[in-house]
Amino acid sequence: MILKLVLVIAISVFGLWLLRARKTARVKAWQKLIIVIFVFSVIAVTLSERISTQIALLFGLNRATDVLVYATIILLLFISANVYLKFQDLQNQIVKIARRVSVQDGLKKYPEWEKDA
Amino acid sequence: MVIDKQKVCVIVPIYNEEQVINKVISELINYNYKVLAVDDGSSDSSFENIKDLKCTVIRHPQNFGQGAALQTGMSFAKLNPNLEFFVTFDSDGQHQVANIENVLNPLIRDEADIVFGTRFQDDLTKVTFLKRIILKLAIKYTQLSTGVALTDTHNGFRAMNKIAINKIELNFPGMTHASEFVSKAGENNLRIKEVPVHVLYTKYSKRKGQSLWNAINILTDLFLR
Repeated sequence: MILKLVLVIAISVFGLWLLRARKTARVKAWQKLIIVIFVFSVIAVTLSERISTQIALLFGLNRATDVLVYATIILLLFISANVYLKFQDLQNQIVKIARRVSVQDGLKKYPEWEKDA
Repeated sequence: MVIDKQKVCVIVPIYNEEQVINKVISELINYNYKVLAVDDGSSDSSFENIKDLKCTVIRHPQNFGQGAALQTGMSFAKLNPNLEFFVTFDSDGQHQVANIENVLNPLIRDEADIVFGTRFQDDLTKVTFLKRIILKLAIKYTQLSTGVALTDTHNGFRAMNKIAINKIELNFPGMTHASEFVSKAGENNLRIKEVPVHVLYTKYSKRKGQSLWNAINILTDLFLR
């Protein structure tokens, strides 16, 4: 049970770090690594029940299926949060471009705005 | 102290306020302030209702949110070398033009770089029980996360001098900009002051105003950034 708790905390902290510092090269690399690790785990589980059961036991779980279910849920949450943040970044970029257009249009409309009285 | 009101730019972000916007802007003009309206992609006739008034109107090509509109207004206002003070003012008629002097005074006396209007330093503003609790929680959270202790963080009534407007850059397009204003003021070591202002909740402003559910959206923004 303690192992499970430690696992949950570790995954949460790691996930949060990946989300908050998402623009650094290290984090971007980790994001790809996680997906690769996940893919290999799925392959391992598919190929051999014994390996997967051992992995499960390592995490304090009895069945390999449970490991897969938990891993999938974590991956899903992680991807949703990532997509959400990516959309926010994109929206901010659009807002910045629109702002430039609005300000330039404003200066065209009110040419006296930038001049000293 | 007397101040040339033409050096005071009142920035009004507007989104679909056709019913009240002409009255709000006209009142500001009558007080002789320099009014900069930012139409945040309104789909009603807000723009048509003010375009002939003696004010400056710039427009967003589509709706982005109050924070985005305010920053566009601030970016534009900064370009005018004659302006000294900048006020952010709601477009739904909640804020009182007469209160602008209250938020400006600490700036004119050079006691602060940014002044926040607060609803909670006197009993003039009537806030519902639930709204009061959520606002108090927001205040506590802002205090904890920014280290700046204010009595009201989600009030759109503020005033800044040139130092503040040059240092504050809002990144959140939506309603989270209110907390961002406070945190950026703190990060840039600006001198901060609070003065009481009266916020009038009319039937119209309540219907148009922020849903309390927005508290959840703001928290998500602040947490996941």
